[in-house]
Amino acid sequence: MVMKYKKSFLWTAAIAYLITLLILPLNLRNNNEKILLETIQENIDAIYLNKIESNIVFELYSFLIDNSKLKIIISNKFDIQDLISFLYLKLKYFKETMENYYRNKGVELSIYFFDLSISEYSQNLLYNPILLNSKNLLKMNDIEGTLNIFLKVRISLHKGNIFLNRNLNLTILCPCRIFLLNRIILETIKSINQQITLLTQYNITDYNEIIEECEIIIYNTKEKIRNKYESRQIKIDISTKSEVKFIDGIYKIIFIMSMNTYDMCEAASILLNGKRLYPLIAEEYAWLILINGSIIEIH
Amino acid sequence: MISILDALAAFFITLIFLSFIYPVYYNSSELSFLIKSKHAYEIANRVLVLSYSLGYIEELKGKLVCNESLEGILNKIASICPKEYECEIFIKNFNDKIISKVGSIKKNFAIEQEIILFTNFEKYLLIVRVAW
Repeated sequence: MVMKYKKSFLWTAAIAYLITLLILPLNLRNNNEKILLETIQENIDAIYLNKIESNIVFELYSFLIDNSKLKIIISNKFDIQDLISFLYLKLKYFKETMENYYRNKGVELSIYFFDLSISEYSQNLLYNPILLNSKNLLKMNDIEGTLNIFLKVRISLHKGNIFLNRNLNLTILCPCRIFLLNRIILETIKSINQQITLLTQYNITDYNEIIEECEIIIYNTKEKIRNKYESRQIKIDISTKSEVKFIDGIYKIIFIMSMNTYDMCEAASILLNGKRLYPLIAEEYAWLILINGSIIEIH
Repeated sequence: MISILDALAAFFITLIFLSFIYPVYYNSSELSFLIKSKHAYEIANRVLVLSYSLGYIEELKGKLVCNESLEGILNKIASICPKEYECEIFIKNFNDKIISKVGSIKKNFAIEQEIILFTNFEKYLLIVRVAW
């Protein structure tokens, strides 16, 4: 009986030994294949994370430009702080959309935005030509007074064993010449103000004549400014209104001028409800003219 | 002489031994599938990044805002895809409704890569499917 078990043990050992010899090279090959498969899967994950990063950077670039233009068109004001607050609000929506969507795809994504600032274009700034071309801005030649957006972005991505962390400093050229539009308004108002102030030196006693003179000054100045900027696709609209009151022998004329400057460059425009809209900066300015006999006071 | 009992004992002990050392076998077709998938993912990525850098995505967004036909611009995007691969490009809204689609895939295996597109008030998904 003992012999029988001894025999069976020997046979088992022999078979096991043979099989081990046969399996060993297979096992080694298999281990290599396992490593290869894992590496390829990690490569695929890395490609996926790179795609998400490209999606974030390109969309962010476009998103900030479009929303800046939208805000300027809606508000008609030159208010940089207001624009920054609006963009931060929009960035929150951008972050939530991206993070939620990719989280559902099995990716841990965190985007942080900070140090958003806005300035005027300067020749010392460097722009990414690929990003510029993505918005067809590479051929833009008249960029004086254009809006510049700076933003720091931190992107953290994680899928499987792959991690991707990026810190980006984005310099974004927004093709909207609001600094130029604002300068044109200031230049026009300054010029009109200087000319209207000179009216005190004339001997005018009739308020109708004063209003007429003011309107002539504004018309001439508008034409001068329009000729100067028309070739640069800047449109200027000026409207005036006046109010006359006669109190205690004194004529009080309130002369109001409303000025709109538009950037008519197509790159600056947006399409809204099928309509093409252009950025506009609007400003209102008023003069108080007092006529007391032959004395004219202008405030 | 080896009895049946010997043989059975040897067989079962060998089985137990094998169960310890038996490796998980990887089919080489699985490996080949993954390698091809990787290439397809790279192609889909290239199609998307080139579409951005060539300004096609900007043109696509313009047409989405204006409710214009998207076929022309989607064909432009599809033309980036190498001829050796079958490509399908489509655009969906976030309610999963396909807005426009070009190309068709006849092969069995395809991978897809998508990007989120933001317009002034909407968001969409641009999907590139690549088959081999």
